[in-house]
Amino acid sequence: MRYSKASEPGPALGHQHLRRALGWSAIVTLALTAWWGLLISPPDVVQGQLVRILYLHPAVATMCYAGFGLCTLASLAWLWSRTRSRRWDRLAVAGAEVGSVFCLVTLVTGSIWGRATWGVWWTWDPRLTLTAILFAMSLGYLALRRSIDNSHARSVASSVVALLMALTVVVDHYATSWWNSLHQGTTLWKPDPTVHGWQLATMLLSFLAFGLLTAWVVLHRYQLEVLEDRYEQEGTQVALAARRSEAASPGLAGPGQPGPSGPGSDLTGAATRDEPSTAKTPSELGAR
Amino acid sequence: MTTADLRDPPGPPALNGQAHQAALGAPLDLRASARPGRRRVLASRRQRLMAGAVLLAALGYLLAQGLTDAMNYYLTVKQAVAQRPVLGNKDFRIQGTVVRGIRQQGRDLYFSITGGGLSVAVVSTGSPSQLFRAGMPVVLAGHWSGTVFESDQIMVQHGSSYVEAPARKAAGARKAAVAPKEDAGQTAAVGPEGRSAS
Repeated sequence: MRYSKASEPGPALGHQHLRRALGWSAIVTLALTAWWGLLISPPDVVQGQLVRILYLHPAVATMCYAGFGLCTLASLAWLWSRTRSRRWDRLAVAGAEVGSVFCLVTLVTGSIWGRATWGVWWTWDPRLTLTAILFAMSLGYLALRRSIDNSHARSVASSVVALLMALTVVVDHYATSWWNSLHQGTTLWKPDPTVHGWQLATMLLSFLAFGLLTAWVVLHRYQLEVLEDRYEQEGTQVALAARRSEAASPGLAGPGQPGPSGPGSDLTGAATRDEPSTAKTPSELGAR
Repeated sequence: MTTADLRDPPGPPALNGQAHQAALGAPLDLRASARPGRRRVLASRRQRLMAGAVLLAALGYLLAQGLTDAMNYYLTVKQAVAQRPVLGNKDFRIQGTVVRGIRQQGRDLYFSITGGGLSVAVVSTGSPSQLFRAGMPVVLAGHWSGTVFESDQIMVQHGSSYVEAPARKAAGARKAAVAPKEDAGQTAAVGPEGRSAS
């Protein structure tokens, strides 16, 4: 029966093995990072024990960039008519959300590191200012997505904001070399990295761990978007079907007189409201 | 909930004529724009564009202001000395490397910073981080008071290079970092008048 479709478990969402493997790898490498970073890796000549946040902050900041980078690439793929597909839009929102969370964590961990080494929680230097702007832009991106009902208009507008965010990411990355800054410059992403031994190994491990975590969360967020699409589509179908069956039923003489199928005027109300989830299927009603 | 309850639900109103028509086979329009009770605050496209333009302009102005300040985050010792007549008592940030001879007097910290072959005497009320010591680059917020830089905030810079410390040296580095004022006892004390900008 058509009505019962929405309450049945749907077909399996793909990538279950991949997601499981990514999740476990992320947990194991994160635990290993914590062990190496806190116990194995030696202190630093200048920063002493404070250096240990090096195994958290740069990796998180890079994953913030990666999230927004993914959002931008997916938005570009969506904007190009030849590759336009709803899946790019899903990937864009997944990247943006994950990027936003990592951006917030970057600001928080950076602030803690800054208080310990610089002596201040915050200062308006180019890197910090641009990261704060980037975070504000990402919140704007997410708010924009929720404020536009039409899915096409929503995707166009958010893709444009994604391109602006990509520009900010590039400028943010080069901020410490383009302008005078309190924030230190690049350590790892240069031909001759200025970190070695256990410190380098732990730092690389942290990048791997947070990379796996990011991939895992992005994949989950993507699947959630797939589910939301299905919920929206099937919820509307259920409401429409219920309404049509009501129209076809002989008991339509007035309110409070449901036909043999039994949904009553409750379903009529649900069909015109925004929440298809309130539509009760005949099987649900019959069960009470 | 019993079947009797379902027959007379308290919530939705009775079907009106339009709803009857829709129920009897006319296609339903479920688009957001067709939903009742949703009125756009800014009705016309022109109004929306204007509101957007005003918001963008305001945001752009704030960004430009904030970024201009951020892009000129500090002056080097050389720049600050060269611009001293222009700067007057204006607050700005100066960057240089702390030289040996840090002295504490009450809440005030006396030391000098150097950069570009010049040095500047500093008196500061700011409490620096544990990394503050001679040889560390710092960014100081404050203003000129004659030839002395009066600062109320010390920010210690650290480079992007990391070097593993052998166990003993690391302990030593931590000790020095935790107690930077020990430096004053080991080296000649230098007051603000001792080294003026040259």
